[in-house]
Amino acid sequence: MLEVKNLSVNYYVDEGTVKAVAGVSFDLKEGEILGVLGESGSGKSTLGYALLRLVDQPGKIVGGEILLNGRDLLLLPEDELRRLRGAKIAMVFQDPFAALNPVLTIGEQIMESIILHQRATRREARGKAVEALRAVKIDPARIDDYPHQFSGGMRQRVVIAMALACRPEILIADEPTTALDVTIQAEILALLREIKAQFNLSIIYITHNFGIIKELCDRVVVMHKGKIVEAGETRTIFDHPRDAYTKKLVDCLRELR
Amino acid sequence: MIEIRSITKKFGDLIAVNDLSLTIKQGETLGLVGESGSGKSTLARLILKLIEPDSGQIDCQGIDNIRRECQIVFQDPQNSLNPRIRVGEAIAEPIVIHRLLNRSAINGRVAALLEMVKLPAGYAKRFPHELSGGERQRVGIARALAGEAKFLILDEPVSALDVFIQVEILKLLKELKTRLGLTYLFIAHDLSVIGYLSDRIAVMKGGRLIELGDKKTVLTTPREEYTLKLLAASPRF
Amino acid sequence: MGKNKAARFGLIVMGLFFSLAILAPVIAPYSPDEISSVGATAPSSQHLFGTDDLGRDLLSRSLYGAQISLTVGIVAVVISLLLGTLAGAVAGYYGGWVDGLIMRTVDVMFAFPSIFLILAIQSMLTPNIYNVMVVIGLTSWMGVARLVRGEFLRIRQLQYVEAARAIGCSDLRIIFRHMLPNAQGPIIVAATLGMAGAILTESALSFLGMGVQPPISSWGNMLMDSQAYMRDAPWMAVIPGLLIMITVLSLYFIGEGIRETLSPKERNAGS
Repeated sequence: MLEVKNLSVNYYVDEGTVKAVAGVSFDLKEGEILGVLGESGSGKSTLGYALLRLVDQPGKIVGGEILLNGRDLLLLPEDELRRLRGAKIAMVFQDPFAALNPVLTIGEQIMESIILHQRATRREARGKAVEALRAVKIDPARIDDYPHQFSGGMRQRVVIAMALACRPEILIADEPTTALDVTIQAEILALLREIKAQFNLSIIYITHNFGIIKELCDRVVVMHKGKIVEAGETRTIFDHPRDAYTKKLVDCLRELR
Repeated sequence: MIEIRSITKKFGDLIAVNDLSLTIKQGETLGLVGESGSGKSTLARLILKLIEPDSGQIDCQGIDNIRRECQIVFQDPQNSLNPRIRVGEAIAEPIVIHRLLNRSAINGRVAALLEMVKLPAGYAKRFPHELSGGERQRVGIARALAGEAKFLILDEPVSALDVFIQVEILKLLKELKTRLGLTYLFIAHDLSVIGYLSDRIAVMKGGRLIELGDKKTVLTTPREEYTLKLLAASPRF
Repeated sequence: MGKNKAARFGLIVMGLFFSLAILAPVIAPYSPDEISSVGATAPSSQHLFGTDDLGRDLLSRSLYGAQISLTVGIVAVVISLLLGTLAGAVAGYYGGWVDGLIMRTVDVMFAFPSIFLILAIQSMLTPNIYNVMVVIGLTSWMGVARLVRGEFLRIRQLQYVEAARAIGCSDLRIIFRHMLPNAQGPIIVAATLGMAGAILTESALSFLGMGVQPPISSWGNMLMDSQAYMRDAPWMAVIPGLLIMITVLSLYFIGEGIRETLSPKERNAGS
């Protein structure tokens, strides 16, 4: 469904050129949850942004292809790309506090995406927003509440609702639970599993936490210094890591037990 | 060593710590688990007398000078060091404040401390932003030990670090404890990390102590439902 | 800082003006008080800036005037910085009623239109360069106080301040060793802008006759003298006016340049 071939992203800073993503290739199958595992600086977040062509100065996508159902996203004109963002591919970011506009109600923010992509009337959009809230287990009566009236975990649910509003095919989640408590994190992960089944989503889950990957992801790619060092079924990688870096990672985790 | 008796602390209407009693035994590592809002950070500050309780008492036996003998290592390697002060000076500050050594001896002690946390002696001249997150945490540990502290509160010391560095720092902490005969209060929100260092584990929720027991029991057969929930939520291997 | 062209320009100009002001006694072609019978003459090879109605060489008067303006600028700013930083630091660090008291004082002082306050004070004293500097300093510390307080409130929450308390630092040590050095960015910017403001205020005061008194030349009272001759000898007004403007602009450019250099660095500390 999504095929990434030889993707490269560079960052041009005072000290020189940083190859944040260096020739990365992988694919995402329909209906699967793919984990992207890496430490800070491995390039995993940059990869997530690159998939939506959201890489900003001083970064630049310098090579490769991103094939969504055969079409290369990197060759699309800006306006067509914008139609895809939110509608076909949606993204959930790490910080629930920053992703929501404090002066708009959550209803408005969910509806914004719907109105933008689906030419719906306000009433239709509101209806869909209510559905989205139900899907993430938020009481639809709160549709006119403001972000500050929600806790961190609930805000993240709102962000997920926003991402789901237009029924995308792919959801990219960049460390969505890092800022949350462990029990809330477990709820969000369970929620993601549910909506994946309910809406037949494919999810790319980016994190540094192997535990989450093990819980949630069918397959995983391990990133280190901009490259993919290992890829495969989660269980296999954990039990029989082949790459030296992955081995080191797994060993460290076992030691903590 | 540290006896906490019926401590309560309120911030306005919010009860951060609610009638909590706990004993930290000399030489042990007590792991303290709680989610955000559980009051664990407030408890840490109460023990260090950085804030005063509304009621209750905390006794530190065998400790004359809290500011010297009880120290804390913070979570955030980013902000826990003054960006304008060199590493060596930051580590030396407790020595200077408490007038423990004369000028000539300070450099030697700083070098010894750097060695103890496995950092090169040349780092003394560097600024915090020139160090990685893990290295900054080591500096924080060196600073906490500079005054020959006996009791260390470790407030989520590895939460902000990558897995490899986490293990290194935890190993270092374990080694230092044995070598220097320290007592630790290890605070975390993640049960998976707590098990590595702790002898006993305490669980806090909403300002109260809801479970306390030795590591094995709490991690395998906890009494409380909340502890079970925490265990279930911590991704296990 | 070298990147910002405007800031570089500002630095060069200020450097030039400072040097010229210091060297005034050496390089001024004439004495600034030397009256001659030529009357107001336009700029010429003999008098590069021309002469005023009393035949005094304007270049020389400008050079000595620069001494006045720059001195007032610096001293006034130093006074306002000392007062403002002290007030802001104490308010920001201690909070509570101390903060309330200091900030209400700031609010009250802000509510006074400062120029009138200064005029009122000056009218009760014999205006001279000394009380001009002090009075300007005493009426312009409030902005710095608010700035410093804001910075202190921000820094107070950072963990290294808590760490300092935990190792036993006294309040004074925390304020001076840990917090002030980290607050210096906005203070430096405020200093450059404050100096510009002080120079403008001094010029206004001297223009109104409440500042530096003749025969000492200040750019402000040169403007005062020029009023009657705007049509016949426009250079008498244009020269000091331009000098004031260039000085103020240069200081603004420097201030902006410093501000720009500081912002990304402060943010970078968080990556």
